[in-house]
Amino acid sequence: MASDRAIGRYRRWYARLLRLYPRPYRERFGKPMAQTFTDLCRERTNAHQGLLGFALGTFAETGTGIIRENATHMVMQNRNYLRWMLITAAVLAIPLLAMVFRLGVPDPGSGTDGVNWGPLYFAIMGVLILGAGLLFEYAASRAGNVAHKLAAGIAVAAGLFLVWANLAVGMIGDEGNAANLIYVLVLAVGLIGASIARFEPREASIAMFATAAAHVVVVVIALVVGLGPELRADAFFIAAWVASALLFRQASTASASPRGSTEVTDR
Amino acid sequence: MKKKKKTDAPLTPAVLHILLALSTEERHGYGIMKRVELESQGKVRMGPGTLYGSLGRMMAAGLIRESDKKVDPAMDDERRIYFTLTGFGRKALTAELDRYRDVVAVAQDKHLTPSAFADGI
Repeated sequence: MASDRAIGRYRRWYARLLRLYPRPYRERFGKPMAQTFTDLCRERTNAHQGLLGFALGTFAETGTGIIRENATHMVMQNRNYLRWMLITAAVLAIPLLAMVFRLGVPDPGSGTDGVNWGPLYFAIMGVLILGAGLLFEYAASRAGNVAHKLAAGIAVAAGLFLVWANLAVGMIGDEGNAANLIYVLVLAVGLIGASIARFEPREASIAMFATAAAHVVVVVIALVVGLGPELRADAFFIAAWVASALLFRQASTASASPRGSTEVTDR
Repeated sequence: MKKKKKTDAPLTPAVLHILLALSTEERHGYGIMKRVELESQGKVRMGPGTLYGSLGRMMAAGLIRESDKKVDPAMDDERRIYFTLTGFGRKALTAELDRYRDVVAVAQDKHLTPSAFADGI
């Protein structure tokens, strides 16, 4: 019958349009939507009504749905990135506003009473904060309990602050002192260890103890060579690495024990 | 921690009509569409894009769920996905209807009828 051919043709076009939906949505509702469209076409042909206007109207209505579902899908897929981009922008807005309105916010790095960051410094800080945030998101996505998330958060925050402290004021002397590069060793141990461990709690615990040990070694070298490290700051960072290691270990114990997770789990 | 679902949140007109359509029996997409059209006396018409978008969000919210795939004897031999209300969906519908009853009761107390403001329009 001519109407069946017309319905078949419109259904094929409609099926092509449905390919524009995000894959999970398409896999779930693609076939039922095509069925419903066919049902509506049959209803119209049975009532001796034309199909062209109806099909165009339905294509437009479904097109609106496609835009909405793709936007929702994109936001859901990238909401962690969006969140950290917003956090980064919010943090960077503080020194920016202080510079624009000449607020007397003390900035130890600039050596002045007011903040005076250059574009490069903004870019470096932006990359650091965003990178740390995304690293934490990755670690948190592998976390099975609160202790695991907390351990990852402390490790990432300690790494971020160590870089920032060295860039802003310098852990040894001032920020221009090349001796500060020795702290790259600490960060390297932490990053390589976390990469190998892939933030799995037992392995990450060992990596964080190794990072704390590397930090101690750096301090000892700095003392022996007479570089004059800032011991209170070093003690703070070593405590942070050890705290992270202990929490990773607790997370490992909790996830290994079927009853042990009740205290720390957030699921 | 899993968030506790709230049944007292107001529903959108599309969601309310879909819940009403599913309140008596499970239906497939076309069946829901026709039921909504019938119950709203043709005032609410949904295309497939709106209908399945709403169904997806309602499933995510736990208001409805997919039931078995089966053939509708009144249609053709294609197997179709049927949708049915969940217990939470039933509670949400009851809460929404209670809200409507309260609003109507207030209007009746004030002796307001649909034609009460006709002169002012």
